[in-house]
Amino acid sequence: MRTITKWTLFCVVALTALPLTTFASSRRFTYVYEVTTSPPGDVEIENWVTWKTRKPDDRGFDRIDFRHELEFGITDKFQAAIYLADWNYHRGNSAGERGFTYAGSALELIYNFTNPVADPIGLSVYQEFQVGYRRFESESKLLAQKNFGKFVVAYNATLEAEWEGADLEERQGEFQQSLGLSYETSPHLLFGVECLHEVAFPNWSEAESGKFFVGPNVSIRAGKYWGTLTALAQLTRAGDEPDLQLRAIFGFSL
Amino acid sequence: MKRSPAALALLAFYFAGCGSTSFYAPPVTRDAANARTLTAGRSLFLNRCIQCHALPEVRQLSAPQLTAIVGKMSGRANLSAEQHDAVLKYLLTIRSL
Repeated sequence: MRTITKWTLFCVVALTALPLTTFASSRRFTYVYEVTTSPPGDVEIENWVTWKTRKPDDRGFDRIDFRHELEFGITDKFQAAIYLADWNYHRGNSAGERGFTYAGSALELIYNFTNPVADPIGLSVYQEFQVGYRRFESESKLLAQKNFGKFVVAYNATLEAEWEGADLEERQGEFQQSLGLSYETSPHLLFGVECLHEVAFPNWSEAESGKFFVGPNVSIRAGKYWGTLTALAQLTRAGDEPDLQLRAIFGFSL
Repeated sequence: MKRSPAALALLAFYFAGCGSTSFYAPPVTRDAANARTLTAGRSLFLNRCIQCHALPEVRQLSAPQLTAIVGKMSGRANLSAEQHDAVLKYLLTIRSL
C-alpha cells in the first residue's frame, strides 16, 4: 500500500509538471547528456522530477527532486540553460527534518565540437555553476556520443566540486561516469539502458568506494511533446545511496 | 496576306525567345542550388534532425515525400525559410545522384 502511495505521488507530480513544459531537443536519456545542442533562437523548457527511495541504512528514506530548466540555443554549436530552481521534498532519518528545501539555481553551458554522425565521435563540453544558500557547486563534463543508425551510444565523464557552510569551508568532490544506449523503435518511441558510476571525495581527500547504478529507460515523443523516464537500481550496497531512483524529464519549445 | 501588328509582335517574341540561351539553358539565379547552399543544407540536416530522431535513408524516399517531410519538420527544427530551402535542395540533390 505504501509503495502504491509513493508511485501515485510520483505519477501525480510528473503529470502535473507536463502542462508546464514545452518541446525541446528531445532527450533519449535522463542521466546521460547527449552532445547535440538546441538550434539558435530556440527557447525551451524542461521539467525534471527525480524520486530516490530506500537506502540500505535508512529504509524510510524518500526524496523527490524537482528542476525547472529554461534552455536557449545561442549558435548552432552553443547552448545555455538556466535552472530556475532546484528544490526537493525529503523524509527519513538520513534526510533530516521532513519537508521542502530549495537547493539552488544554476547556469549551464554546452559547446559542441564534433558531430556524432559525420565525425568518428561526437564531442561536447559542459559546464554548470550552481548557487544556493551557503552553497556553491561547479560541474564539468566531457560528453561523447556516437550514432549508429537508430542506435545511440553516449558517455559522460563528470567532475563535481561543492562548497558548503557559512564560509563555504566544507568541501567535497565527486567523479561520475555515465553510459547510455538507446534504440529508436519508431520516431515516437525509444528504449534504452543507462548506467551510472559515482566515486565521492569527501574533503577532497581519499576516495570513497564506488557506487554503481543501472536501469532501463523509455522515451516518447508525440507531436511537440516529449518525455523520458529512467529507473535506476543500485548494484552496490552503499548504505548512504538509494536502492532505487526514477527520473522523468518532460519538455517542449516555447 | 495581311498580318496584324499584334501577331507580328508575338511572332518576333517567339523567335527571339527560341534563339536566346535563356530558353535552352536558363541562367543560374540566386535561388539555385550551389555548393554553398548544399553544404549548409547538409550541415543543418546533420545537426538539427538528429536532435530528435535517426537520419532517414534519403534515397529510399521520393522527391514529393522528401518535400513533404522537410516541410513538416522544418518548424520543429526551428529552420528559417532559407534553411528549409537549403536542406530540401541538399536532400533532393543527393537523392538524384
